[in-house]
Amino acid sequence: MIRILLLLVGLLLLIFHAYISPLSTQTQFVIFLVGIVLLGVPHGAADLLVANQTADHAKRNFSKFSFLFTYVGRLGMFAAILWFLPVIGNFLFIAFAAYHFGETDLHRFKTNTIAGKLFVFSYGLLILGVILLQHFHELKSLFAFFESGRENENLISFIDSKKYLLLSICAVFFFASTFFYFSSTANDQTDSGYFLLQLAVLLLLLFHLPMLIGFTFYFIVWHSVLSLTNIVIYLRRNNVYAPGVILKQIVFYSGLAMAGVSMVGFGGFMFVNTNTILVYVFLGLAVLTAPHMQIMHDMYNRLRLDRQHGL
Amino acid sequence: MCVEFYLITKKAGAKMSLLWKLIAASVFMLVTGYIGEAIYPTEKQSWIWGFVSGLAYFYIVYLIWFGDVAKLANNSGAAVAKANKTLAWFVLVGWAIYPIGYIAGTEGGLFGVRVLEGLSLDVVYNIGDAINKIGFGLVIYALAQSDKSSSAQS
Repeated sequence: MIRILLLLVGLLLLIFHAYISPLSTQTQFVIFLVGIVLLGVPHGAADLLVANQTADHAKRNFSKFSFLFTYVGRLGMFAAILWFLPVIGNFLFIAFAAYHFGETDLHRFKTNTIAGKLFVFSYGLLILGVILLQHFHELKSLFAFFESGRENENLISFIDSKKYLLLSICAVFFFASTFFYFSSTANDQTDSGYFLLQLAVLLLLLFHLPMLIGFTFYFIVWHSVLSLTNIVIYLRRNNVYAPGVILKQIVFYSGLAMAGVSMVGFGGFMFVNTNTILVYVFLGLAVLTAPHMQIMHDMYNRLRLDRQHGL
Repeated sequence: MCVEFYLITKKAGAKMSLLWKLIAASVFMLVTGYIGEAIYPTEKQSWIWGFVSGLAYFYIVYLIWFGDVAKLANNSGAAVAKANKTLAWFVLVGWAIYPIGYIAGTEGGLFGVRVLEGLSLDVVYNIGDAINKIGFGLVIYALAQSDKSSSAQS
């Protein structure tokens, strides 16, 4: 039900933008920033509680210090890869993000097998492909802000010239891996298949909305709301965490993350113009989400294992 | 053709909702395909409409191969299960001829490459119709015959 409501929000957004009043770049940017503050960052702010809950379920000891050490370590490592090897860093980020998006949308499926992982990855890759490749001209202007973007102009132009071929490869990969996945798990399936129709509507929306508002819709409205719902349900299992505790944790770590991003901004180059802010917000998000994706993967893995054992 | 899946699984308890699901998916597949072919036949637009139409097609494939239709057919006895499997292959392979027609008929086509440029859309669709409709009919006819002979024996 929640997915249908979210798709309706997207449809209203598209109708408003296409037929009533096109959203200016400035308005899109404000919606994006407000969304990031209210939903985007908070959906990753409960990672500590989620990791704690996962450790409890697996009957493992949980150390807050070692969690934070690993978390910040992963964050730093990904920031270093992006800094020193930006092309590899970008492709790695797309691959991890594709898996993470796919896993969030398809978490009810038994995807612990190789076929399952391919299914999840191809689904997320298709969504990211539509957001990024369909609006590649908008993305290109953002790449130009980076030295590495200017140095890799040939690669960027190649991707631009082959974007529909690349999108079609993503599509064929998705159909093939989905068929392969369901063929290998045919006896275990009880799903209605509606996820395919939801994906159709989702892709139509992402294709027709401008990149920033499309990304805002997918990442903030769709992904963050679904993730937050899953996180709250997971943390409320067996009444381990009271709603107040979850809320406090989310508010505290969201504040911390946003303070960090603002400090970086005030310390240097962020508040120059809309495009520059956008570039650094995207980069900041990429770095922040690197350890979050692992925590969420562990959570969904736990949920899948519990379902397998009938818990 | 989707109606036939409902009819052959009706004996095993297929409900009207299944028929509506199949019809709705077919209509969605045809309408979005038409939009991409006739209303927005540019490279950019034809890609997304073709793909979305493909998703509806894949939903039908899902229902027939792994979903409600497959489960009902498997519970209806060997003859229906066998016929369903054959029809499922028709849908998976035979219906895939239509996207080829789509590629041939739209600017840029589904793959963003113009390998089939110049090939007549009508030729491809006629081949598709001949294989799918005649083949489909023959499978249903064979199923009806086997059902008739097994009823006569009992």
